Amino acid sequence: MNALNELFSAHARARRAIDEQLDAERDGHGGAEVSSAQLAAHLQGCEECRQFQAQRRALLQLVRSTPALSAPTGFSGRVLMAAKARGRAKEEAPRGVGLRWAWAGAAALGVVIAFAVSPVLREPERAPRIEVSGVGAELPAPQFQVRAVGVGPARAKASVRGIVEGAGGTVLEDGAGLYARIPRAALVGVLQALAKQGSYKVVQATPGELDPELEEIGISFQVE
Amino acid sequence: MVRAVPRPEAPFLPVSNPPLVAVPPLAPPVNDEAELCRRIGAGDDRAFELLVERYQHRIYAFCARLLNDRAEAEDVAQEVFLTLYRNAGDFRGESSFATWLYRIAKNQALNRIKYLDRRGRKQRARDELATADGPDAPESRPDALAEGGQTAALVQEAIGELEAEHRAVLVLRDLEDLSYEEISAATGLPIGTVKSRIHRGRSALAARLARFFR
Repeated sequence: MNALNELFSAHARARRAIDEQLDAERDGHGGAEVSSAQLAAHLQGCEECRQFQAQRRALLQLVRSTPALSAPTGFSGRVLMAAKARGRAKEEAPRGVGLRWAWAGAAALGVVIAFAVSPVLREPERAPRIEVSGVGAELPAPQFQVRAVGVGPARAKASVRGIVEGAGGTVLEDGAGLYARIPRAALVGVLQALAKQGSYKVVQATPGELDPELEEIGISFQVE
Repeated sequence: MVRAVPRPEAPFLPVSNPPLVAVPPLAPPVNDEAELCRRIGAGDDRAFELLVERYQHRIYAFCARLLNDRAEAEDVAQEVFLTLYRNAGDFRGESSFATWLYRIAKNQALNRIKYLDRRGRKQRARDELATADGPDAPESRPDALAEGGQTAALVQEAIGELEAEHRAVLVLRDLEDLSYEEISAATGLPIGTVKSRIHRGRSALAARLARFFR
């Protein structure tokens, strides 16, 4: 049993040494714990480890031949914008936090009413929340505003596009976020799909029910 | 950093003793990066822009390999640079700037993996696909992450299935070309543990890619 253990250990040590040797070759220096001479002696007498060595070289060649990945177009610009926005937010943040009541035409929409906390702090360890608050925007009169919280901007944009376009809506993108126009009939479905991302609340831009003449609903999405 | 030229159309054949491309190690600590960090700490946005442009592709690629998802990788990579923006003044130049940045990236990416795993990433992906009326979101599929065809997609998928800690070390070694010492600095792991994780990660990867070795 001792001989078997020793043999097993010899193979295990040799295979680790093979990895180190391949890395040393790539880096242009030596340094394996098992000396090259010892490894060579083992390989001379061990067909299995020679095969392991060949497969390992092949594996590394395969992995290293995968094309390099590049950051998406515009990435550095978005990073710079985000850095400046965070710097501004830090300067402008009010002291302490306050509660802001969020309420909705719940009778018209059948949605949950909940508290909002302002400013909303990013809490990456909790489930992401989609906040919806009604604030006027420069684009044609959105009825709702949605802000993604706890989920990154790229992920949030991908989700929003999928949900809105899947519901027959259209999405425009400006530097700050997204703006969507959706058919009125699809509104509840869109809000429910957003709700699946986490809890949410709805506030209309103006008190009262939605204008019954509106056939399309505007939603402004802020992704930070 | 010099990397092997990609040959996406070349069939994979196991060869004996193929010439491995000699890759120079990461550049030693560059004085100007410590100076750039000092300037960022003093409010110089141009210095920050220079560092982002210099490292964006490497940090994004590292995050993409770990997270196996373009959108998540972009978000995490952005957070890495925002962390740099906030904390650049803490970098004194005693270690390599690149390993310092990789350390931030590794921690952010692994935290994100844990968070997504808790949230049930697979279930969420199913929900998103279910609510979208149309083709699957291409930017999130692992095979869409790979730009070199089916082989590259399979390699990336196999990497994505490794245990997160093995994946991080293997990607730093075999795709980002960091030395053992640099990986040790970037991960905070002893060199012995780095070697062990590389060995076990490669063995796990080889098992997943066994079809290429028959």
